[in-house]
Amino acid sequence: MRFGIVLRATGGERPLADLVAQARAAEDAGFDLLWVEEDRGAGDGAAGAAAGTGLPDALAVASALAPHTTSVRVGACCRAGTLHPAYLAEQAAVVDLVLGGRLVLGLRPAPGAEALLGDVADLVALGHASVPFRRQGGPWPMPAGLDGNRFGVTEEVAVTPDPVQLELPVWLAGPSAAVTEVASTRALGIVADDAEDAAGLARRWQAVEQALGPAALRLRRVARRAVPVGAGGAFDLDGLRDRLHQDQRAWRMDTVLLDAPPGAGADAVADLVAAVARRVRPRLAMAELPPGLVEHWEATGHGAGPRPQVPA
Amino acid sequence: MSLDIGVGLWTMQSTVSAPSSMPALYRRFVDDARRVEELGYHSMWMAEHRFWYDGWCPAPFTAAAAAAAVTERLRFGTGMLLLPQQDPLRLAETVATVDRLAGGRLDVGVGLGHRDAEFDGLGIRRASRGARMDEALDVLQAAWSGRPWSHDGTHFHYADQPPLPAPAQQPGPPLWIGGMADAALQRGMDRGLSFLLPQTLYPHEVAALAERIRAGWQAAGVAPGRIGILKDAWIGEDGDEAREWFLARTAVHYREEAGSWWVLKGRATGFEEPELLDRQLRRIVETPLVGDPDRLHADLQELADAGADLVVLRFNFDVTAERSMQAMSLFSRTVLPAFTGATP
Repeated sequence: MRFGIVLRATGGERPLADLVAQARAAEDAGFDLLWVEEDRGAGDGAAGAAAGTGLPDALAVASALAPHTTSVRVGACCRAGTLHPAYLAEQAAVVDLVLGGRLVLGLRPAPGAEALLGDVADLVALGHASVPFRRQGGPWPMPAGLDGNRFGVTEEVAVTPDPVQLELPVWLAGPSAAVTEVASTRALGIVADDAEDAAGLARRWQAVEQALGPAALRLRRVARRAVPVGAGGAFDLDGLRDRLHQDQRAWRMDTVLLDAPPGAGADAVADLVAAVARRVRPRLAMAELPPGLVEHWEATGHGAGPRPQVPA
Repeated sequence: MSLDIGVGLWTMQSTVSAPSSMPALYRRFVDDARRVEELGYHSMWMAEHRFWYDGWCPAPFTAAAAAAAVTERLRFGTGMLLLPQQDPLRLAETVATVDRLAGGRLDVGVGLGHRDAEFDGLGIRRASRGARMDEALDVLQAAWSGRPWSHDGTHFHYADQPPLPAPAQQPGPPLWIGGMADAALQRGMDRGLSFLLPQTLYPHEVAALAERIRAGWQAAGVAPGRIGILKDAWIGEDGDEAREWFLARTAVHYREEAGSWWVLKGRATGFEEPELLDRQLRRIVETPLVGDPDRLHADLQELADAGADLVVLRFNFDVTAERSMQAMSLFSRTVLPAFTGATP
């Protein structure tokens, strides 16, 4: 199973240092992915599970993390349906270039714009294909062929620059039926929210498998999972491990995006990712571990020790 | 009068004249930002275009986030960002994000844009660009106000918007208007915005415009902005050699850009009107600041005397990139201290 961390910023007016500290701690602990959602502040109907950085442009945050990390992938989850997809395709390509090919683009349908998710995904894919294209109909014809636009206007348009990655990962986020439908017809990964339980996700993925057949094997199965907090304010790593194990068994979740409690702070996140690297991840990497191995880890102090605390 | 000196323009183009690895261009941009800050410059400027073979960066502030993340003092600006081609709410969000990450170091230079193909690719009529510019400026200022806001215009509609997370600079990063057409001047003067004048002006033209702009701010009863100018520039210990090296290269750069993009006399693009193209390019090779350190010092003093308080020196082109840091380094040792008061 791959592990990611949802980044939040508690740095007030200077959020960069806070985000960089979390990003470096996760990379050092061997995490595979950083995940950034757009945060438009209070009153944004789309925020829901997304709030966290106090910053409304996730792709710009991903760009800022690039020079402070070397290998970890960075997921930037953007609202889809309220913005011309050409801007998303352009901005994502620029960030993938800045990151040297480490971007994962998330698309979360904006409230009321679920019906446009397929058009967004298609235009982003066309824009990243490195071939001029023509797409008529739908809300965003490209090129539009408008009266008065004469010079240099051609029958097809090429979105530039190209991303570094030959196939930029595009994952659809959220619980809506539109996400399942578009993922099933475009073969795109899905990021489930924390509120979606294992049984529901098993049904969801069954629908995707029925639609795609063996092509579904290529898709990443991702979920955000809140890290539980036990008595005394310690992260409940056993509870987390049990839930991830259940997800793994029920719907073959292959990537988890851990969500620390709001306000946890960079130090607590650093403690959390270090503890997960020793006490959660190894125990989910194989179907079963040989008898005595966990006891050996605990005896050597590597697989046990004090549980990191959530700051009061 | 004090003079801030920035450098430009980073565009991340891999052209036929200077092919490059695109990821390497972005890595170099971040490295250059560190070096430009060390050299003592005020600011680093980028520019926007889209749908073009060389991959010209269409999202300059997104790229600037990476450079801002490794610098402390250097400001980042656009000369220009094509505001009528943008979704202004999305731009407001991007600028707010990067300005917060940078601790308040953005300058937002905006121009109209001119390529029909860029507008058409985005489903926008080029003829609407002036009206879109006005509305987009309204949207930016409302979105950065920290209050709930709405906008119901001809081109943009945003109903009952919650306050956006605010940029670090209040009431928003400085806005700079590009261009010198009457409408552009009026727009900036009425709103009390700053100006970033185009690179082909002679000092006496800068002086006349600066006088007009200052009078316009006063007439509009607004707080005055700043007056900047973009200038193509090159420096060498041997001024003649510098001139020969630089002008030969920028002639290639501008002939490609003007020949492909500029619509001359409303008739055709440059390559289809070679005589008009030659006439246009003549002014471009006459107006850069090129020479030895003494010459550049004198040229800059002339611009300061004409009323400019910011000059963005464009050392960095696709065709000069291999040596642009050398030139910026020489300039910072020999000319910059006279304008910043720093010890060389």
